[in-house]
Amino acid sequence: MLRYALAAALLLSIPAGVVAQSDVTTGSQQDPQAAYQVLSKSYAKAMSAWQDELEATITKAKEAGERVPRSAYAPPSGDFVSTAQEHAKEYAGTDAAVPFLGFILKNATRERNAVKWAVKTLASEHVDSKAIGDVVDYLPKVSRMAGRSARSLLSDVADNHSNKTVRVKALLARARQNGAADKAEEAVADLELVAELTTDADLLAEAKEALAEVQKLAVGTPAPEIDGVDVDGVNFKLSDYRGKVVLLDFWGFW
Amino acid sequence: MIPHERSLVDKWKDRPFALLGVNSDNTSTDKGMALYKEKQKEMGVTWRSFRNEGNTPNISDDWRVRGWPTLYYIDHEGVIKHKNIRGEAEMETVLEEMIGAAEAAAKK
Repeated sequence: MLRYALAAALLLSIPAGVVAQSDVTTGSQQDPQAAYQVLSKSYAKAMSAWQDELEATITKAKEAGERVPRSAYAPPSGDFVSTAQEHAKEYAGTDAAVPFLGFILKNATRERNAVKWAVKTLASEHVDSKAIGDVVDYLPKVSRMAGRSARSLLSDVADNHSNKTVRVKALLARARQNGAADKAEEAVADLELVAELTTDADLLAEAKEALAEVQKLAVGTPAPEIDGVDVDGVNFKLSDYRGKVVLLDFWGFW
Repeated sequence: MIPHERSLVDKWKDRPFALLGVNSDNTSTDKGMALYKEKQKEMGVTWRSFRNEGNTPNISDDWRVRGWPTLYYIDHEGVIKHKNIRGEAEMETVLEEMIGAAEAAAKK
């Protein structure tokens, strides 16, 4: 219930023009950039309202000794994803649609159909455009909702895009995804390719950072130090055990 | 898990081996701690654990742990040698080899 009340309150707070905009058939043309701004600003506002609401709900539940209803944890992404989808259809086939498709990938939490549609649309209508470079970063985010198609689109852009900068962005995204999945070798190969393809200082810096991130915790690299307290509150360090083989076990009884 | 781990600790108690935990139970409150102690006794957890929460960032975040349990095999020089080997027989083979290397290095 809370979620719907929140969404309704938000709709009221959005300027009337945007609500009219979602009615594609009226053909009221709005600057796509302005439309994107309005969408992302109202989404940010909704997210922060939702977070406040969630905190209050948790506090209240704790005081009452009750469980927090599961629905309270669901971010209010649905309405915004729908609006993004409408905008993307309005600008279909043009670069102006791409940011809205990116918005869907970036912010969807359980809108599986919209995500699948966005990936499919990017793959069929925007795969050769330069604009896709700005949204490739979000493809790994949807691995649970559209894993296979998102991965194949990302690889297509990373391996084949005619624009080097776009390729580099896709390679960086794929390397981060592989690194997070413990596929260090593949990640390193992509990052080496980045270094060959670009001279852009920012992108090279990103590659360097991603490489450090991939190599950290990889087999064959030094374990990061742990300086913490044991369950009895006594300070100790992982390096206190140098000279011994350590089996480090992240565990809990729960 | 726990009985096998305990057997490893017993088996290699005189050799250069340590099982260290990073525990994610809530042990920062008295109630949580009491619960932990009770279970620790019941399950026979004899080894030391870092408290996961309360470190900044949480150790599990710093180590990018996504699932529990997660295992890291760290050699005598502090280098990560393996990750997430969970089969009991394979765990023992791998650790035996690593412990042998640690002993060989200590003799030099």
